Amino acid sequence: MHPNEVSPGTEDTRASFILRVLTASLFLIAGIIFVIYAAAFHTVPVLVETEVEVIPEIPEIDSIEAMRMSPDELDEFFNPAPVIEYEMVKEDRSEPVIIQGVTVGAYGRAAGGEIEYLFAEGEEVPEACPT
Amino acid sequence: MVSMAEGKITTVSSKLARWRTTIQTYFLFIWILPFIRIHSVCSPVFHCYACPLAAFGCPIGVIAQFSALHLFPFLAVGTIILVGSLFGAFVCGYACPFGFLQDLVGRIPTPKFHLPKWTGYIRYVVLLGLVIIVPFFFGERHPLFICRVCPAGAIEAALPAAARQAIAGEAVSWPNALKITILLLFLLAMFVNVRPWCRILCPLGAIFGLFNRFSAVYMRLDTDKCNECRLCEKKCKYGVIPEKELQSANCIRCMECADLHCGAFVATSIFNRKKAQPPDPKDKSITDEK
Repeated sequence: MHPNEVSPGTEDTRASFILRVLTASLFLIAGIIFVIYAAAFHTVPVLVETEVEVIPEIPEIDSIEAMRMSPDELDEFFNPAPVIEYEMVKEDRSEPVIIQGVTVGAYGRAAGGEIEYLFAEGEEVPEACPT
Repeated sequence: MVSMAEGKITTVSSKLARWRTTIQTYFLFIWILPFIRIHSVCSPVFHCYACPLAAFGCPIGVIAQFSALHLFPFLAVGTIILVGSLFGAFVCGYACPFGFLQDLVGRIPTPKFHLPKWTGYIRYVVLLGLVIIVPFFFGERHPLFICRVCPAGAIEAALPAAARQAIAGEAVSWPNALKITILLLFLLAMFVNVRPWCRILCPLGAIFGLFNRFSAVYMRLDTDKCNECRLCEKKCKYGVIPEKELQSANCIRCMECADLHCGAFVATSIFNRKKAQPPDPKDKSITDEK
């Protein structure tokens, strides 16, 4: 090829330069929009196993049986201590938080298609990705 | 600035080529900050987030994990588009720590063989298959999930973790057989080829390579200075013919072609439309493109 002959991919003609300016600018703007959206606005609903204090239901009791109980037993019966149960609670988490989680394998897809946090709230997550 | 010594033109671009290892070293210290872990942010380079020293998240790992969750990774894709539209594959040549590792090993004087050009397209198969399709349909537990076969993960994360466990007297959790096989093949390939991962398999390099045609900073051939010596073609380690395919997706922008006697190849940007003038041999300091 003659040195002065313009070859595809090497030319820097006005048209190719304008095309490059336009495409680079478009991609740059798209990249900035994506980053700002992800960092500031994008949230994902995540199912998180959360500790919930549940007061157990008081079972039915007949009056004769109640009369046989001592005052302490009655108090305990009618004011049962709350029980800690784990419940899946939907929580909106930002994309940076999700990214931090996926780097240690903390998220998975539940059977219903929802995103699930694989550790209970407060549970220690691994230091590194399991893969 | 341009200066001439022993017939070789020194331009900003040729200086960049000569300082590449130093620049790569500086970038390495950005990606491996020992006490800083900002894994909620993706870096624009291929560096496993499971590495004990990784400061940022790997964009490919994040894209694959998000694909497994059926989510669109706006931050990872945005970071790649943002950096790619500015610098294209200059990121591979000057900033990527995994590329730097391969460059260092590639300096060991062993016989290197050339790869056919079509092998560069395998990167797109890896990108679509192992990073997007396999995670999307089979989840992150599939053995072909990118992180499960990635040699960067094996070198930067699995081996240090195994060493730490062995030193601590704990049971060593070795990577799976497939990962170890790929790691061994990759280690062997580094000795017989220049940047084998980047040239054949790197999904991130595949994306940045595409940006070579659109990036704000790019390489330009000054056809007036080209004397058709084809030295650039012989010097290119990546099988690119710079004279004909300067914006090729296989080019990692090492700028070795910019460090030739002709000075025909220059790094320029859309912010600098001015065409490089042929240097006057009498003038010792002529302003060049920056």
